[in-house]
Amino acid sequence: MPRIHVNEWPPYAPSNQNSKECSLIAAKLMMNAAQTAPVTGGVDNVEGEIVYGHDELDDIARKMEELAYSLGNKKKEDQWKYEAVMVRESDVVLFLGNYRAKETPFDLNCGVCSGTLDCSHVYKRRRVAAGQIDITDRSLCKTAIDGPLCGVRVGDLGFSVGSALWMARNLFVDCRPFLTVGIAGQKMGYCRNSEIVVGLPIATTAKNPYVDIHHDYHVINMEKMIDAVRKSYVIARQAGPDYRLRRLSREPSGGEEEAE
Amino acid sequence: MFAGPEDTNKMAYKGVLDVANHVIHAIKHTPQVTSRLDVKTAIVTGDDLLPIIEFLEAVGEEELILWMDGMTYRKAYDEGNPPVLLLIGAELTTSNSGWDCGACGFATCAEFNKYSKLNRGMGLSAGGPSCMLNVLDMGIVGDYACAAASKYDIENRIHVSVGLSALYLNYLEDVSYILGLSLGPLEEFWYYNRPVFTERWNKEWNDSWWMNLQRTLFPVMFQTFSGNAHPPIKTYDKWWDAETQDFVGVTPIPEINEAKDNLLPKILSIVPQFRERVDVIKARNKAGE
Repeated sequence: MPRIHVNEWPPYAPSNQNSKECSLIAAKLMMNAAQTAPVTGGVDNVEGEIVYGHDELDDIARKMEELAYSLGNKKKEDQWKYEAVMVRESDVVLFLGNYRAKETPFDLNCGVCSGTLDCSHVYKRRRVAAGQIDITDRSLCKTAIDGPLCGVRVGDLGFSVGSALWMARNLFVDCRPFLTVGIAGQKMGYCRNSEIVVGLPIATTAKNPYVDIHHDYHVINMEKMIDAVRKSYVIARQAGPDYRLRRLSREPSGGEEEAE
Repeated sequence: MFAGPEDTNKMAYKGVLDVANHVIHAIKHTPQVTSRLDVKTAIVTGDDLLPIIEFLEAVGEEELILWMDGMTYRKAYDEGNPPVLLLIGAELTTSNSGWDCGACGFATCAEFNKYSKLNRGMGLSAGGPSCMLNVLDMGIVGDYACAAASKYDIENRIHVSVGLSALYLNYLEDVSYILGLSLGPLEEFWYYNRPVFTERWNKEWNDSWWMNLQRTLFPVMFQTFSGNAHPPIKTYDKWWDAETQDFVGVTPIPEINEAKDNLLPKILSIVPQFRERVDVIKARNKAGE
């Protein structure tokens, strides 16, 4: 019988890869759980996409770092950058989007988006032809998400995300819902039919990577610490003697021993 | 100790309140996108459900879904097995997470908040305008509640209908949206394959009501050769018979427009009398009775 060994360290080594592959299975189960979430009218409206692999996750993190600055929202700049680190520390990212929120509202007159007894709030702010929302002109959007969106559909996305998170908790993988990850993924073409996407990074590690972090996490984190040790220690060690010529005494009172 | 079938049924019904408690635990422990949504909960059962049931029945004359849920609740109440209703509400109309994400249609949260403050109002089922990230979190919370209930293998369904009734009747205050999670009755199917429909189903109802509904909602399914601008629709078995032939057409129906315009005034006209009763219920609760 083949042996399956797992060890968190070093990342992406075969032993870590074994547990990452299980995180991938968890992500797939979460994606299915999202599809069975109770949604308004039982109408399907959720799409999901899984991203896996070192370079693929790094691409998402880089996009998040780009958006941290290009969106120009100073209040959220740090959050974008910190959560980019969390994506790098994840095994898998699951994207869940609602592909109806922008183009095919529920048309219920429910009032969630507007507080009015009709859906005019959304339709008046969109290009419309033949009573249908025309989404072909994507140049109009000046914000991270191109609103207004149908509130019923956005609520439904919440239900799908909730089921995915519940499944994660049941499978004992760490996961949190992030808007930053979702927006970055959507801009990169993941869940491309959805205007609103939530990113769910998943990790199987001893310490949940999505909690208990400190300020300036984008420059002070495990990866940077290790790199700092690598760049410093290799210099410091060059001040040592030739170990073949100067032997260190192991006796309690002893000092250096002469070369033999 | 020995508990027979009747006793165990009673015990199980009491236990539904414990499940409601567990669901509230899950609600409070839900991972949110904004982590700022202040979720309020309330539990309603027994006679205190009556204002909601009667409100659903009254408004249900105009709205199919409310009518369905009103009947379903009425049957459970009349049989002595009223559900435990868990109300999950939150104020969604103020954005305080500072994302400036644009999902609401405004460039910044400040712009949205300014607009929202000046345009506060009520749709059929919710107050608004709402911050879409609050709506998203409300969805996650609602789903967590359902998932928690499902863990206990208890018949449950999350409804907007019951929630909007509770919102109009002021069961929960300072919220703009309420979802209602029904827990129990203790049956395999109560809100799905609904017994309340199954028992009244007969061929006459099927032909006159159900099939009419299908023809109205999905005329293409029943229409004949589409080369004609007004193709006959198969209303009757002998649909080709000229004497009883119906046709597909799009035409204004003024009385439906009128009913739609009258819906909100009608709701608002009956709300005060129900609210008085709910105020009594809440006062009793405050007094610890």
